[in-house]
Amino acid sequence: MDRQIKFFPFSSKIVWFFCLIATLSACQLVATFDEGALNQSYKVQQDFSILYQMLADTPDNERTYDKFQREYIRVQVGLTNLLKRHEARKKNEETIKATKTLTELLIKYQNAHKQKNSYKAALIKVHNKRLSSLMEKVVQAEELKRR
Amino acid sequence: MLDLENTFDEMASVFGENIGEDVNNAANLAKSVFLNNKETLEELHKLLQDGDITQEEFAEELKDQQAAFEAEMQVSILAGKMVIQRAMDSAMNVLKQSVLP
Repeated sequence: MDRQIKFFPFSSKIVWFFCLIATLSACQLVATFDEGALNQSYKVQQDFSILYQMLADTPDNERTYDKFQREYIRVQVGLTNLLKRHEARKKNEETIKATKTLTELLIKYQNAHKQKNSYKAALIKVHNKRLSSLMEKVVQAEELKRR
Repeated sequence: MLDLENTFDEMASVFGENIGEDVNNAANLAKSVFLNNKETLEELHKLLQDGDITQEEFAEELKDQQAAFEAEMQVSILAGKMVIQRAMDSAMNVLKQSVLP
């Protein structure tokens, strides 16, 4: 026993202290900040704003799907790529959930527009508010990860 | 000589300070999600009353609003986690500085 102490000349308190450092250093609750994902989010947010501003500015009888197809695809592709980027990171569940819901809702409204070939002004206002708010949260989710 | 007692006291203090600063921001984020949700639900009721949307559209909108609300609340949860993470990182910095030469 005495011999052991000679070969291990630290007090148990010090050993616990270093164990604590090692444990806490490895403790990661949230994914690390990804500047590329943040920039991608800003880009999608901008494309989304353009799409809904165009929809709102177009008179009801001229709001056919084909006029907005290009903008829809741009936002959809941007969101899908952003979602893949978020899914590739561990401890990123909340951001993935927000981005996934945003993507699903956008695709749902796009499909409805395509099917009916029209989009009510009243619904555009509500959808714009809902999706803008959700888009803002997706951006915030990445900004929050800055340390 | 490493002063463990003081280091742990300082870590606890830094952890507490950071929690205090960030927790208000996380709470405000959650509050804004609730208020935003309330506003949208009120708007939807008005649209239905004014005949701008049908009963079927209203029901569909409620479902979507529920999904959006849940997704936004996830970001509030993330903000809460980040409060703990930042406080932990600050406490760890105190610990690291106390052992590094």
